[in-house]
Amino acid sequence: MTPSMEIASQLEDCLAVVFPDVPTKQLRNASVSSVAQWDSLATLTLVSVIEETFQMQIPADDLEEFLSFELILDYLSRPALRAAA
Amino acid sequence: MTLVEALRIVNSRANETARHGFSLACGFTPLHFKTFFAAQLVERTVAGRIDVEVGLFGDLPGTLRRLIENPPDGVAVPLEWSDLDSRLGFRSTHGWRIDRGADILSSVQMRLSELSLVLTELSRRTTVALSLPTLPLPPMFKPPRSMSDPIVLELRRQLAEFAAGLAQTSKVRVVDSQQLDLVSPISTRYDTASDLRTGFPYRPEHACLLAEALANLLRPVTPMKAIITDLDNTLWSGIIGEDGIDEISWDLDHKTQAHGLYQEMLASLSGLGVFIGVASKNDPLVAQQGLQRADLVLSRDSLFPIEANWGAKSESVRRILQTWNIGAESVLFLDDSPIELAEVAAGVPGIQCRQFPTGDAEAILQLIGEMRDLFGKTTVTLEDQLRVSSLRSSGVAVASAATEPEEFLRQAEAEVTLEWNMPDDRCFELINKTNQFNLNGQRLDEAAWRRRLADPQSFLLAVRYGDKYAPLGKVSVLAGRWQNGIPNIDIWVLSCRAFSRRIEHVVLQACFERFDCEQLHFDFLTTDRNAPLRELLTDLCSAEPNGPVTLTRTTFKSHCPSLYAKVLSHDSLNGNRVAA
Repeated sequence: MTPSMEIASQLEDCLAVVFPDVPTKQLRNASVSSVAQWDSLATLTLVSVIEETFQMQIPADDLEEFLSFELILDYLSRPALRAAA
Repeated sequence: MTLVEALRIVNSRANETARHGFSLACGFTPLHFKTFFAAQLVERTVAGRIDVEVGLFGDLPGTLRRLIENPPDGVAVPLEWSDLDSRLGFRSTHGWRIDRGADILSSVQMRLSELSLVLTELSRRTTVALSLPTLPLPPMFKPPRSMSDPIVLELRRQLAEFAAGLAQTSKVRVVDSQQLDLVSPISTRYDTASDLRTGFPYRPEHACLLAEALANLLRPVTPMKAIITDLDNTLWSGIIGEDGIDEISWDLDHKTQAHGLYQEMLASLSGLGVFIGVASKNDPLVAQQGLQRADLVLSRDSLFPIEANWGAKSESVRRILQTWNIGAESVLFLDDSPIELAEVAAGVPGIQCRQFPTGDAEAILQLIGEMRDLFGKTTVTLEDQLRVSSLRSSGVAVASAATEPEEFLRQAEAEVTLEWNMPDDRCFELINKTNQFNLNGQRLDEAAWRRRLADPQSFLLAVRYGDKYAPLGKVSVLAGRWQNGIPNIDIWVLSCRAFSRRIEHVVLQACFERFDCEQLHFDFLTTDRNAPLRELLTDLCSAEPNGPVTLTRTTFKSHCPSLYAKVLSHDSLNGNRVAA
């Protein structure tokens, strides 16, 4: 498994635990607009779960990027972040 | 427990239909604390979904008042300084001037009085667990932080008075701050960034530990019942058979004080009704000499039975369990020898074995603390205080009953007191700790117990027993509700100490008379342990039950043996009367 595939897989696990009602196959397409439960509190929970899973601290200013699986994956895949994690 | 683990635990029950409703009454944004709290409750609940509702941000008294009207199964109140006065938190300004101290003290006093009233009222309707402020106060007082300001000391005094008052006069259960300090250091609790950004003030580790502490009070584990202790290098330091009676010790002079503290803990637990037995490989006379030492910390009478012999310890332990008539899973066995522990663990399945860490005072103190957790109780009943003495007396009675049962019952001067619809802590305890004479193994949590008592169709009978040998206190509980004109009994337990007295027959006779009915319906279910009740129903119905049973008055009368006990009856509604 490549590093980017591993990040995607771990991120999928994070979304699965925060949004247990979303079918597994739809997790990679999940976004604020497609998941009704994805509100501001859920975003905070998701961020904490990601911090715990990836052993990293996410600055408050970056939270606005946490709007979809794709955007979060892009965020987590940035080389500087990966080096710091 | 990590946040991911907590979420998984909560999700694992999300689709269950049975639900347990709890409330989290806090002034901050609950966020992950709610998740940890729900997960901790799931782990303490056999089945069902845990729903946790939260109140309005910043309105703790209002949240609590609303809960009084519609109480959930339990309420957790993680109090913080900012709930007492917003100026004592970090999300408020304009409070740190030196002339504000008196005003803050005054407003805190008023808020504590308000909370005390509403928490007392709420605790009459549901189980309430409260934690005192866990976060540091802001650096808002005059002196450097290393010096206590009189205002801070006064705040802490007010808080201590508030908590002590609640713990003494209401059913509010207060988290022990010292115990929390040990597992969650104060310097690692506060999450500044999260508090200022979202209003959630805890780091995940602290949120988890505080949630665990509150859940422990809302859903306490059933205490264990008994301890079997070794003597040499456990109850005392030294080997009595080799060193001599004068050389064994448990005091400061001999640097063996930790054994004295162990004896202190055993004495304290004995006062709670915990059985303490001895299993020692020793000459019985030598062991008795050691136990007769006048400076023994615990009373010699609190040790019963004493098995001192050269046989296998597992055999001694089995005999002790037989005398107590309790299951091995409720018993802790303590010995300094790993070989003896392994032999007992193999020979007595289910028993919990712990090595006594002789020579390691710190480990001994840790063990003593764990013993408090395993055996500690929130309330001590009259039966707890009677238990050890009645066990000794009942040994005489049981021996006599075994040889001449009819004559024993005739001359026992037994008195059975029936208490109709008079619930108390002992009834709840009996239902949740009795295994053998138990109709179906049903256990109740406090919320289910409250619902049952509030049901106008329900009935409850508690039974006290005493004879010339000993008072046994409250030994049986029967409960149920009327269904289609027939009393349907779904709870019936009888303490194993009260077997062979025909108390169960007195209870059935009383039910037919009280309910003036021709049938009693029992929700019987076979469990791994309830053979005594199954045998009673088999005797009465002439067939072994394999499910719910209906007993008619005629069948009961034709199978009921002679009853000799004097029966008194008390009723919460009708006052007292002598029934027979």
